[in-house]
Amino acid sequence: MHQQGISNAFISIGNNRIRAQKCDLLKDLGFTLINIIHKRATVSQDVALGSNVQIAPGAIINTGSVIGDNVIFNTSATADHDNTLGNNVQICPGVHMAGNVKVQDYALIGTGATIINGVTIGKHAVVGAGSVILKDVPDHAVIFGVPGMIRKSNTPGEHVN
Amino acid sequence: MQKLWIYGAGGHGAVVANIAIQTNSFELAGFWDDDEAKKGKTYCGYPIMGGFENIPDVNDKIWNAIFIAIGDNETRKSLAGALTDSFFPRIVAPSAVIETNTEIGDGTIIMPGAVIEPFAKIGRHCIVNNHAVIGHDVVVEDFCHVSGGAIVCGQCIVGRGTLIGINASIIPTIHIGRYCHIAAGSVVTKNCADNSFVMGNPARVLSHYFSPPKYPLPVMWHHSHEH
Repeated sequence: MHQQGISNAFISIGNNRIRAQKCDLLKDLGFTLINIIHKRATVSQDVALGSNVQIAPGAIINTGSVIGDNVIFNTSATADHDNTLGNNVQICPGVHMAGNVKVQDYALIGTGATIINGVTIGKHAVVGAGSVILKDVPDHAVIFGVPGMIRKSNTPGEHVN
Repeated sequence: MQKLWIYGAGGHGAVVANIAIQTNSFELAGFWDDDEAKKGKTYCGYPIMGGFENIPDVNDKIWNAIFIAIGDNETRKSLAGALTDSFFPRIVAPSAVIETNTEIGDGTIIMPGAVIEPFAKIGRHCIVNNHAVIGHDVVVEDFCHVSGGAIVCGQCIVGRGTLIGINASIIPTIHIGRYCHIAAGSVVTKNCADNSFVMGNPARVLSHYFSPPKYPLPVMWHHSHEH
């Protein structure tokens, strides 16, 4: 395809790990990975976006936020000011994040989850749907409930998504 | 274009600045902040003029409007009381939906994606954050903060100075007292008395409290008008 003159690509795979692998693969082949931002999404002008970022309709990303590579930011999810999202992160629909939240690489935030301000979500962590997260979440933790409790661990090789 | 000053050079101030610029009805002049270390520096590319004491020096028809961009309800209320001669604009993000017959008070900001349904009344110096929904016939009194994704259903009354946490839900016709704190993600199904701290699904009252101002107040602030 690349040799036929198509140089832009976008990977739309939900699983964070597989998406990361495919992105690396296509980058090696010379493709430019683009960002897809819906016209009904509201993204502040000074938000720094990586590559292969998908921002769905109704999503809101406020000023000072930094979004890494291969991030899926789904429908009606909101990130308030100064949020930092790592690479290969997935934010499911209806997630609300307050200010100064950090979501590290490969984390998955489930549908309708709520994260209060200043919380850090560790690498490879999984936040269950509808959870309310009030404290920092360590790497590889699986956390869910109201308030969010750590229920099990998501080891690096394991397929969770 | 109206010239706009923003009081509070923090994260919330940056958000307010951004939305004000998006509306194309304000020309941002700069920031005010009580933090001495910030004085003379720039924030988001705009100058920080100094603290509260310095405002009267510049309050000489040079500036038209000031927006108090402070997240803490108590501090915002004190400042609004102290800046009596000021004009407080209301700022509504272009992507917010404001239905007909709504009232929005001065100094209130409606953030992107928020929905204000018909006959809702929002008081002065409130924050209606991203994607929050204020239902029909709801009354939100002065100095409230309805956080991101929170849903206040029809005919509710939210007392002044109340903080509704992120993604909280209030079922219809509920009365929430003054200076309450509804914790993040709570589902409120019963009326709340003044000063209550409620949490959980269904929400329960954990304590009654009065949050003291976080900063020592200058003498003139004690005259802030109380209803």
